[in-house]
Amino acid sequence: MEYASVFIPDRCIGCRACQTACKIWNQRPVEKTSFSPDFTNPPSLTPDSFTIIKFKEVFDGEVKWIMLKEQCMHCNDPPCVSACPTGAMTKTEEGAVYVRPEKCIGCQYCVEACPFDVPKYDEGSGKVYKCTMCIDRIRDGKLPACVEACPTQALVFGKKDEVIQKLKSEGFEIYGERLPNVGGTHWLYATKEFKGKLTDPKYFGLPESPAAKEGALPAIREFGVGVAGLAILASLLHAAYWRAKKEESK
Amino acid sequence: MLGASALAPAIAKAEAFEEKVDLGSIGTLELSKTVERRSICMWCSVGCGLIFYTKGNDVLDVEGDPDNPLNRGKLCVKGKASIAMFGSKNPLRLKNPMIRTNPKPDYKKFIEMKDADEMYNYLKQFKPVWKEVTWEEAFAYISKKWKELLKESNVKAYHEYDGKVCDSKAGCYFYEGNKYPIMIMAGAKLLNEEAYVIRKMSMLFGSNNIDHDARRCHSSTVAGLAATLGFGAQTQSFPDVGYIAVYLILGGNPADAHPVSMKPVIESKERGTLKLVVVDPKFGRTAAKANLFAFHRPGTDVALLYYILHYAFYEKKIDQLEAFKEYIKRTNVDMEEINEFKELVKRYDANEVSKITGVPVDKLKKIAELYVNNSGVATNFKRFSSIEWAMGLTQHTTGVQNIRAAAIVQLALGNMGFPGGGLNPYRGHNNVQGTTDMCILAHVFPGYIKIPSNSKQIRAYQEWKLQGFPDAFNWKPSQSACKALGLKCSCNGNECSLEVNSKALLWSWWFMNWRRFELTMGTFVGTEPEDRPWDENSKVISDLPFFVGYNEITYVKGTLVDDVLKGILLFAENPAVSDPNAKLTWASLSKMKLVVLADVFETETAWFADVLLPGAIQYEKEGSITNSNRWLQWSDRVALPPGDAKPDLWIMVKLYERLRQDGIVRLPSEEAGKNKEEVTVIHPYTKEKIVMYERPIEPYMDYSYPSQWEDFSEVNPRIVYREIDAAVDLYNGMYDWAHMYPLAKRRVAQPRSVKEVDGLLDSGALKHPNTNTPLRLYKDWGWSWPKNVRILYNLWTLEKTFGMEDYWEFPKGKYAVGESLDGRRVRITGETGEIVDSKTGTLRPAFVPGHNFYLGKFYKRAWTVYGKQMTDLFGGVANPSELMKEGKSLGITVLINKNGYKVVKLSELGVRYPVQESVYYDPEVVEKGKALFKKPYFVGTKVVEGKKVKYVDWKEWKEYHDSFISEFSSCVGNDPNNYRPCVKKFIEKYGEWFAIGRKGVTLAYSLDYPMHFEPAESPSLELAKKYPQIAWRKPFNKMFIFPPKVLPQLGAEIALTLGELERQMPKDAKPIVLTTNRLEEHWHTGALSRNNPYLAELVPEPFAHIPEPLAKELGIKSGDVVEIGSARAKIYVRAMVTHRMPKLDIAGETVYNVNIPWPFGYAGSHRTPSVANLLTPEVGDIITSIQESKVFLGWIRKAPKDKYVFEREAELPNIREEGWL
Ligand code: SF4
Ligand code: SF4
Ligand code: SF4
Repeated sequence: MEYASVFIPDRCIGCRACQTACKIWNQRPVEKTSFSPDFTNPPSLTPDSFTIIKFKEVFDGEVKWIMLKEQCMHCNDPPCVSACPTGAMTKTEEGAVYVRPEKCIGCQYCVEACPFDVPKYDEGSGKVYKCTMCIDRIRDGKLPACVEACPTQALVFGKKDEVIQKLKSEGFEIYGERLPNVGGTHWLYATKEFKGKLTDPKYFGLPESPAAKEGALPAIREFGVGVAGLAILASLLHAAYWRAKKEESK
Repeated sequence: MLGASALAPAIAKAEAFEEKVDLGSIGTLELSKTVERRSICMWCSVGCGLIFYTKGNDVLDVEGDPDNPLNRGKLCVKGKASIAMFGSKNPLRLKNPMIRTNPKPDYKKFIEMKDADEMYNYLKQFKPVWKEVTWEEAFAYISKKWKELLKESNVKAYHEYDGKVCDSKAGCYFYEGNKYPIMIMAGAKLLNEEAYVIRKMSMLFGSNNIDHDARRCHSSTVAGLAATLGFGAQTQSFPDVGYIAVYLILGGNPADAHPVSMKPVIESKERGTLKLVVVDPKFGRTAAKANLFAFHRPGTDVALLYYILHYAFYEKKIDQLEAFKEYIKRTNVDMEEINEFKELVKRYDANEVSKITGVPVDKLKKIAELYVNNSGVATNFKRFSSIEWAMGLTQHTTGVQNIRAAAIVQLALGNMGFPGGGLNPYRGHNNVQGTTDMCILAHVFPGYIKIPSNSKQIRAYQEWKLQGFPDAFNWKPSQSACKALGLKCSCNGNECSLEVNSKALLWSWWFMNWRRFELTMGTFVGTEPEDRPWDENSKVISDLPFFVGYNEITYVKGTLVDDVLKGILLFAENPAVSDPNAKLTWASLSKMKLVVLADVFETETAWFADVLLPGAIQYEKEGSITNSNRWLQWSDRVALPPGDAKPDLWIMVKLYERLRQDGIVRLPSEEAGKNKEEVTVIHPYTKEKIVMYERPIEPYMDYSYPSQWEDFSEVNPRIVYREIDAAVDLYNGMYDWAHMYPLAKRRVAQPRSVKEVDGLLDSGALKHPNTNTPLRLYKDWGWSWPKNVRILYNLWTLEKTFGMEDYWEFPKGKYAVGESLDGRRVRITGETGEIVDSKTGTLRPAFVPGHNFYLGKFYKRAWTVYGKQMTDLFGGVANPSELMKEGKSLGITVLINKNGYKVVKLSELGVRYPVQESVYYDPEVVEKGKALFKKPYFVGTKVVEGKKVKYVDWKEWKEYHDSFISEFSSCVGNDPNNYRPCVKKFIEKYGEWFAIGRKGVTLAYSLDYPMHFEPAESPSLELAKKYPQIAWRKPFNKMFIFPPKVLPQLGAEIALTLGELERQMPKDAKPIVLTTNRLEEHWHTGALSRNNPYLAELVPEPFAHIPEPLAKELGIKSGDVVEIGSARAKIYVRAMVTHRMPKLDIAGETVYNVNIPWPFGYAGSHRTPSVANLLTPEVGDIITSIQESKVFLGWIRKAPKDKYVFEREAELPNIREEGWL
């Protein structure tokens, strides 16, 4: 059974309960941030912030202030999973794409592959981290932590086809149902207020055609396991290097 | 109920889910192995329910409580971030009592300094060095210093005859509450029990020098609304907001300050039944969701609101509507007065209001049209428009006027007292409504009860007691009493009959409450002997301290100018950051010889403390809290406080015990040698003296009672809760004495059945005509004052909105009510609220036929009926401990006949629970509740500054208004530097401000209707002439016009005009209008949120919102450091350049508005010396003294990078490393 979460910017008040709920649930440490010129903080996804709210001012004589939640899109055909040489990056039947830290070797092929710039490499642990769609919660009969917290139902969750059908019947425009290269996503965006603006760069700027990045994907396919083995080795060395560096700096 | 919620189906555990995913170091908190503990959110006043997942004393996660109708399982970021506040997570929490070992700064230094960095460099040298001590040692230290200060100040209870305050030849015994040398400030984060006990302590000390945050946030709301409607509170509940048709947010920003309150707003907006209109000087998160938004100049709200009325009267012609004519009868004005009022409103046409506010004319019209067309009178009470506000309306010298204007709009448009309509001041702190109700305030006692000011009032009170503690309808005051209290009586000799007007009703309510205080606190107020109240040789004794004290704004004068205040006891307050013109607070705290602070972190204020006591956060205590919409909910303990930290209630009571033990607390009655009261009544016919019982006088402060926790066993909040029910009439009914159950604990969200009290309105059987959704009141979720009424003043709802009738039977003899209800079937027209009946122990309707204005303050008593029966409250209480701990009173009453009497047990009359007082409210009482559409704040004639001043209402003032304006304008001419001398000249000439001399007297406007007045620092000379600043009416504010000798610099600390500011402004700077704000992520002074890593991560550094065109002119980019200055000081923060701040056209000139968030200071894990309140002026509202921090003049320019000082703890408390499991 496939599930989906939806972000509805019309309802978002930018309170960032979702951002912190995610951090608390996933036990990610707090980051040392600095002044943000537009409230977005940290300014982009990080290995410790699986989701952020992006704030953006749109000014055309009158001002608008829009909020966009960023996190993993949980693609139907996730390029990161294809790119991952160790099977650490996994897709579940619910539609969740998550990384198993114990299998991650820090090669960062997924980072390269992701058209949404989601997986983030943590120099400390030498592993990649990202939103898990709260697969652990879903399997426990709970809503994803961010959805659970959202006070205004800007975040909703449900069975993917039901959610899509319901939103459509209520007149929402949906982003993510079908997308080139990734098939579609299990994180959707829906709006009535901002129709036509979800992909407008002046507004939300979601990619109309999430481009697979060059390099990573075909490389694995062409060279197969052998190269992947090398990659594993390289990454292990890389991770060891970073760990040593961190020790030094202590 | 709504389409939206159906989108988030609860997900079932499907079989395929059985395989768990191992996310390793990510995620998967094993909640199944935790204990769930429910509590109420510690941050804002929405009152969201929380479920904590705990393991021992550790807290793993928190979620919203899905049962709670206020949040339905949802939370904002602060609620979520709560987990980082616990001692187990937050290494910065205070754990031990500490005493300072190093010297404090020299107070004079601060007064001279103007630069935040300079002040900080000086202050840093005196950063406290602490020594850890035991509680015992800390209390001993405090007690010793306290005693010295009392001695130094010569506090005394005995006063000789002076013919004014004391009219007894035998002398009077009372404390002057404004002379007590130790101020108390106790924050709005305290629980109700703590708030009550701290005010009670001050009363027992003999002090009214006590105040709290509410002075600085909503005092003008309370004064404006209470005087108009009866109570200073939000009239709708948060769930009720969903029924509103047009919601005008004026001077509030709920998406930032009360995020979860936006839930019903967003839902109804999407459904299309609610239009959100936001008018604000800053485009914030709420504005981002508005259907209609307008920037306006801060400080022009009356003008804006009057334009709505202008449209209503002159375009919509509402005064011709039947609905209007009918509704206006619920107020104190008639159609003739409405016509007079209309003349005032006429001055505020669209062009004029646009000139004042900066809102374009077409936008004004759109707003007014939408608002008026969806009002009660325009829709025959089917749809309603409602107003929300917070500090944007309150923090002005015109604060009370702003709120009055909002209330008048709602009264004129028939929007008051219906589901989906009302007035919604969203309170700030989670319990600021409760701490206000408990009156941690210098001018009232718990429950908004009058403070006595002379011995005649005490004599009148003693006489009232002798009449059997009657309600106003059964009260026969003597001529002396009528005179002493200013009652309207027609007397024949000393036999008077009282006109039961609002004054009489209020005095009888105050007296009833004074009696409640006496019986529960173990004190005495009256004469000795009791039966000769007017004998000039009777001693007058009052354990209630006289006179209004110093408040949060004026206390700096009390310290620095008057030299009365020498010490301060603070609980959970951080005035070093929150007080206006902060350097005066820094100076005051430095000058004080004893500063005791109980808090959870080492705050900015702690830098001035001599003793620092570790308190507990809300989740570490238990007790009741009152949310913004007056619902009491019980907040449970989730974990123990860290180290040796203690609940604040424990600290208060233990400190009191120590002070009492050391002879520091001595009641006036003790000084007078009075240790028992002969509770006496006089037979109305035979004039015989009847001593009903005797009670010992000894202050009661024993709350020990078994509990599972040791600290609660020593001081048990549940016992205090019961005392509040008995002591504070406003909260009476929150405890069910029949079942010994605190109703704040109820957690039933299910609807009532239609047969129960208010069942029809709560059952969901009725659909709201605006939304077509079922109406719910949630009557069994917690408890709401007054008498569990959920929608204030809801007299007409059933009848007008739903076209329904309901009835209630009072079978003969069944309930403890008077003859007017007993044995009758009565019609119910709205929400009645309820009381636990003292005969049946079940709920019966309270306000019959519905709740009207002022109700709760007006009442009747079943057990005292003139010529028939006389009863003390609760049937008499000999022992407060028995009352509180066992729910027992004496339960006796005196039955009267023409020539005799009989003392009997109330139980013989069928009363099973005499502790449940027998108040009731029948149609006669309900009818008295009229809203004061018109309400003069200055009345009568008095001598001010040696001149005779007569205060006149608009009706008379309108003859003089224009000549006052033109006389003043021509004095000022075109020179902004003339403004101040002209104000001075007028005050000197006429004695009073906003006044004019005619025929040998000064006539001054009484302010019975609001009008636009420019702020104390006005950017427009033209407007400041036409709409002169009202600030100078207030004696405290006159300090800045006529500075005191000891602080001559105050004269330069207010810039009345731009011209005055420009004299101090650097050449390369630009003048601006400033406002201050807090943020969604940061809480008030930031003392809690800056030490919360989750919140600090989101907004770590101080900044200012700067309008884009202004930034461009000055070459400022986002992230640059800017200097922002005012006549008080200058600070350095980062620039956030944005289109969300306005460039306004005000009377033909460009005005830029800059906004600075104020939750930043120099202590804690994220620090800056640039405290925004260094900039704000402490000129106050002319009624309540609330500071004008929402509009003042300043300048801005780019500053060198090194002026910006921002520091943080090298290592943040790292939540992950602290260990979760
Ligand atoms: S689904 Fe879970 S992991 Fe993903 S953003 Fe939401 S809370 Fe974070
Ligand atoms: S919790 Fe909901 S409303 Fe708040 S920022 Fe996240 S999506 Fe927006
Ligand atoms: S809205 Fe207020 S009460 Fe609710 S979670 Fe947020 S801070 Fe707490």
